[in-house]
Amino acid sequence: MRKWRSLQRRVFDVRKGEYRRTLFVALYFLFIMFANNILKPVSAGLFLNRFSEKDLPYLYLLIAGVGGVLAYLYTKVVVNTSLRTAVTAATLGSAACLVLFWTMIGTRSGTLLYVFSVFVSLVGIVFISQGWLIAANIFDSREAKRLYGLLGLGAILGAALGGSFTAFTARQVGTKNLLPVAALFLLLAYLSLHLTKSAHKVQASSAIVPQSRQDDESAVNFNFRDVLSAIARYRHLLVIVGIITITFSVEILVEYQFLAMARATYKGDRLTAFLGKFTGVYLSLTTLVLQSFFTTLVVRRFGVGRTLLIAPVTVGLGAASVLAAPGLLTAALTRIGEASNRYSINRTAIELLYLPLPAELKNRTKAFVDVFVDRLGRGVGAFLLLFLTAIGLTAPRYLSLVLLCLALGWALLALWARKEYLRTVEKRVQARRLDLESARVTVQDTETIRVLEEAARGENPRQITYALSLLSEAPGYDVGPLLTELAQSPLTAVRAKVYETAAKVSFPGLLKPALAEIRSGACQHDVAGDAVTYALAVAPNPEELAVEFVNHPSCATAEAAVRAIAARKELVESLLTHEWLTAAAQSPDEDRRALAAFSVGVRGDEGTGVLHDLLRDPSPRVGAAAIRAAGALQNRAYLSPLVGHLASPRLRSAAIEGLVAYGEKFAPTLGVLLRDPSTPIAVRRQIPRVVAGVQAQIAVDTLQACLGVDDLTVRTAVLKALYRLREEAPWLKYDRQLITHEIRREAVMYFHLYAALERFRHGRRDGRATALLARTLDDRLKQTLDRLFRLLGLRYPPSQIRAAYVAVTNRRQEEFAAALDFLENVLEQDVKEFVLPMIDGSPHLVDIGREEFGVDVPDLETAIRHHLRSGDGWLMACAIATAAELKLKALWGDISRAPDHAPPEVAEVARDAAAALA
Amino acid sequence: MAERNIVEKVIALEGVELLSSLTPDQLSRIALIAKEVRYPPGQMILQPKQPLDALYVILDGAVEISRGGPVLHVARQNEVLGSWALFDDSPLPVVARTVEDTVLLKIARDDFYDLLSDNMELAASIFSTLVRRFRKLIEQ
Repeated sequence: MRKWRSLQRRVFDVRKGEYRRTLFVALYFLFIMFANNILKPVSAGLFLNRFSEKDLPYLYLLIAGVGGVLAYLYTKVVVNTSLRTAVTAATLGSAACLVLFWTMIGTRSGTLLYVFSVFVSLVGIVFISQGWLIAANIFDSREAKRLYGLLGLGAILGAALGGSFTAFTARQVGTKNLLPVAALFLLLAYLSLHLTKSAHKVQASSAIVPQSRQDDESAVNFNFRDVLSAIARYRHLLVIVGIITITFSVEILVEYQFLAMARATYKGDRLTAFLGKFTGVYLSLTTLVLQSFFTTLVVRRFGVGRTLLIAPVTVGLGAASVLAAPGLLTAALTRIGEASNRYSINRTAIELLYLPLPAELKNRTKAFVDVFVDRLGRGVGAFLLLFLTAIGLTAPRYLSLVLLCLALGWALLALWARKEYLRTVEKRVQARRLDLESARVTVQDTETIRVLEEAARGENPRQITYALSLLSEAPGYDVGPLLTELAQSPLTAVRAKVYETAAKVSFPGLLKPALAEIRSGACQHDVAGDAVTYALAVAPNPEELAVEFVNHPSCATAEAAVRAIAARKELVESLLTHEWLTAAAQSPDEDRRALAAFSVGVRGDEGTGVLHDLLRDPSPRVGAAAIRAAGALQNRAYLSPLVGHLASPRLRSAAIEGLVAYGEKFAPTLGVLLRDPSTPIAVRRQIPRVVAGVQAQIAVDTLQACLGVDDLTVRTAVLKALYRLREEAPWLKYDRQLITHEIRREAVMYFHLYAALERFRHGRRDGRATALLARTLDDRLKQTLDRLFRLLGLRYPPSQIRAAYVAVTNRRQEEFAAALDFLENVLEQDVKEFVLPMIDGSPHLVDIGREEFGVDVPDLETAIRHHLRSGDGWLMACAIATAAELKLKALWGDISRAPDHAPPEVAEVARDAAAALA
Repeated sequence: MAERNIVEKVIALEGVELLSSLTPDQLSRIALIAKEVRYPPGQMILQPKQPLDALYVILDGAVEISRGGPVLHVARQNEVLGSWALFDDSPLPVVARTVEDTVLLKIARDDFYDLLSDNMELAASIFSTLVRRFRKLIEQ
C-alpha cells in the first residue's frame, strides 16, 4: 500500500494550480493522436494495397523532401506571425484538406495517394510539435518533469483509442469515410488549446499570442540562416539535431523491415487489419504502459542524459534479435521497442533536453528542429534504404547490422547530449556569478612608459604608487631619477611607496632623505616602516643604525627595525635583550607594550615570561600583538589563553590567526575542546574557523569527527568550516559514507520540523506567541536546508552546489527551475529521492517524511512538548509561551520543571507561563 | 510589575522597522541585551544637545515629540525613538518627553555593537535593511 501510494504520488504529481492546464493540454494530445491514428493506418493501408514495399523508400524521400519544404514554410508562419495564427491556420487548413481528400480519393488514384501520404505524415508531426511547443511555454521545467509524462499519457491514450477505432470501424463505414472523423478530432484539439489558454492566461497567452513588441520584432527578424546559425552556435542544439536525425533514420529502417516482413506474411485486407491492430493495440498499449508507469519514474531516476540511452539500447537489442532469428515476430518486437520508446521515454527526454535553453532560443528553433530535422532524419533513412537496395543488402540480417551500427552512434550521441545538457544547466545556474580576474599591464613600449611617468608625477596617490610599481618592473627602465624626485612628495603614501620600491630595486640614492625622515621625529607611521627597512637594507653600517632604530622613541620606527632585523639572529639577540623586553612590557605606553609582544615573537621567549603577562593585557592592541607572537612561537603553554580569547569579539580575529599559526599539530586538541560541552559555547563556535585555517587532511578529519555535536550553532560552524576547506583545499578527502549519513540526519531534522510546522500551518491559531513559534520553526527549516546544502557541497562540486542553493533560496522562477534541473541530474538516487521534494516544496512532504524516515505529524501538545524538551533555548522559550497562550494545562509539569535546567531567560518565560497555567 | 520576558520583548521588537529583516532567533539575541526602563510622566527621553546612545521601543504609555514648540507627534506602543542611535550618536533636533507612565525597551549602542561583532548573520541582516532603505531613498 505504501509503495503504491509512493508510486501514485510520483507518477501523478499534479499540484494546485496545475490541474486545468494539465487536463486541457493532455486532451489536446489525446485528440491529435486520435486523429493521427486514424489517418496513419488509412494512408498506410491505401498505399500498400496500391503499391509494393519497394516503393516505400521513394515515399519516404518524398515525405522528407516535400515535407521539409512544407515544414520550413510552417516554421516561417509560426515565427513571423504567432503560434496562435499558425495553430488556427494549420487546424482549419488540415480539416479542409481532409474533407477534400475524402471527396477526391478513389481506388485508382496513385499520385493522389502519394500526396495524401505526405500530407498525413506532415499533419502528425506539425500538430504534435505544436503541442509540445505550447507545453514548453505553459509549464516551467520543474513542472514539466512531473507533468510531461501525463501529457504523453494523453497522447498514447489518443493513439490507442484512434487505432482501435480505425480497426473496428474501417470495415463498417469504409476506410475513406474515416477522414471526416479525423477532421472532427483536429477541431476538438483546437478547442482544448483554447481552454488551456483561458486556464492559464499569462503564460499561455504569451506562448500563443506574442504580447510584446519585442517578441514581434524578434519574430520578424527570423530567417532560415538565423536558425541554422543558432544550431551551429549552440552545441546543445546541435546534439539535439543529431539525436532527432538518427532517431528518424532508425525509424525508417525499422519500419521498412517490419512492413516488408508484414507484407510477406499478410496480403490485402488482412494486411490492413494487422497494421491497424498492431498500431492501435500492441504498439499503443506498450507505449501506454511505458508512458504511464515508467517514463516519469525513469526520467526522475536516471535524469535526462541517461534516459536518452534507453532508446538506442532497445534498438540495438531488437536488431540483435532479428539478426539471430529473422521473422515477423522479432521485426515486430523491434518495431514496438523502437516506436514505443520514441513516443514515450525518448520523446519526453528530448523535450526535457530543450528546457535549459533560453526561452527565446527555444521558441525560435524548436518548431524548425522538430519538423525539419524530423524530415531530414527520414530522408537520410530513405537514402540509406535506397543505397542498400542498390547494392542488394535489404535482407533482414544486413538491415540489422546497419541498425546495430546506428544504435551505437546514437548511444554515443546520447552521452554527448548528457554532457551538453549539464553544461548548459550549470551555465544558467552560475550565470549571475561574476568571475573577475585582476589584469596587470605589461610595460614595454615608450608610449606606455611616458603615460606612466605622467601618472607618477600626478596628484592622485593611488595612481602615483601604481605607476611607480609598474615602472619599477619595466625591463631596462631606470627608476632611480623618478624615485629621487618622488621622495620629496608631501604625500606619505607616495613616500612610503618610494622607499619600498627603492629597497626592492636596491637603489642607494635615497639613504640621506630616509634617515632625515626617520630622525626628524615627525616621521609618520605609514612611512616609518618602509624608510627603516630601506635604510637598513642599503646602509653601509646597518648594525649601528639598528641599535639607534630599535631604541627609537617612535614605536613605529622601533617595530619596523625589529621587523627588518628579524632574519639576523645575532643582531636580534644582542638588541632585544631580556631587560629590553621587560622594560618595554612594563611600559605604561600601550604601543611600547605591543612592541614588546611583537619583539618576543621575533626573538623567542627563552628566559622571559613577559608574553604570559602581555596575553592578559587589558589593551586589545597589546593583546592582539601578544596573540600573534604566541602563534609565531607555537608554544603549547600559550594555547589555553589563546583559545580563551576566541570568545572575545575584540581579540577573536587575532586569536584565530594565532591559533592557525600553530599549524596542524594541535588540530586534534581543538577537536576535543570543540566536542566538549563544558567548553564555553562562544569558544566552540569559533574553533571550526581555526581548524579550517589549517588546510590539511587532519583538519577535515577533526571537523568530520565533530559533526555529531548536539548544539546546532556549533554544527553549523563545523559545516561552514568543512565547506570552506572543500572550496579552498579541494585535494582533501571526505568520508562519503559519513557525509551521506549526515545528509540523512539533516533531512530527518527537516522532516521533524516540517511535520511540527504542519500542525501550526493548518491549526489556524494566530496568537502572537504561537505565530512566533511557527516563524521560528520556519526559520529553522531554512537553516536546516542551508546545512543540508553545505553537506551536499562536501559530496558534489561545491561552487555549483552553492550557486544552486542561492537560486533555490532566491526563488526566481527560471533560476530555481535551472537549479532543480541541475540537482536532479547531479545528485545520486540515495539523496535525490528525499532532497529534491524538500527543495521543490512538494505537497507530499509529510507523506515522504513518514515513509522515508518514519516522521509523523504530531498532535499539538506533543509538538510543543518536543520543542520544550529540545534543549534549544529560544525554541524552548517559544514553546513555553505558546503552551501558555493556548492554555495547554497538560504541559504545566514540563513547564514548571524548566527553570531547573534552562538558561535564565527561558526560566523567566517558564515561570510566567507556569503562573498563567496554574 | 515584573519585567517582560524574552518572548514578550521579541514580540515588541518585531514592530521595529530597522529590525524587520531579522529572524525571531536573531531578535531573541537583541532581546537579551534590551533592558526595560520605566519613566513617570514629564520625563525627558531625548534632548537636542544630548548625544544618542540608545534606541527605545515604547512598550506601554506615550511619548510626545516636539522641536521645543508645539507637539509634532505622540508616539505610542511599538513606536521607536532614536532608531538611528544604533549607528550614529549625533543628537536629534527633537525633544521627546513622556506624557504618562511609560515603559520603554532600551537597546544601548555599545551592547548592540558587541552583539553584532559576535553575530555576523545579524550584522548582515541589519546591513541589508539599511541598504534597502538607502535604495528606497535614492529611488525617491
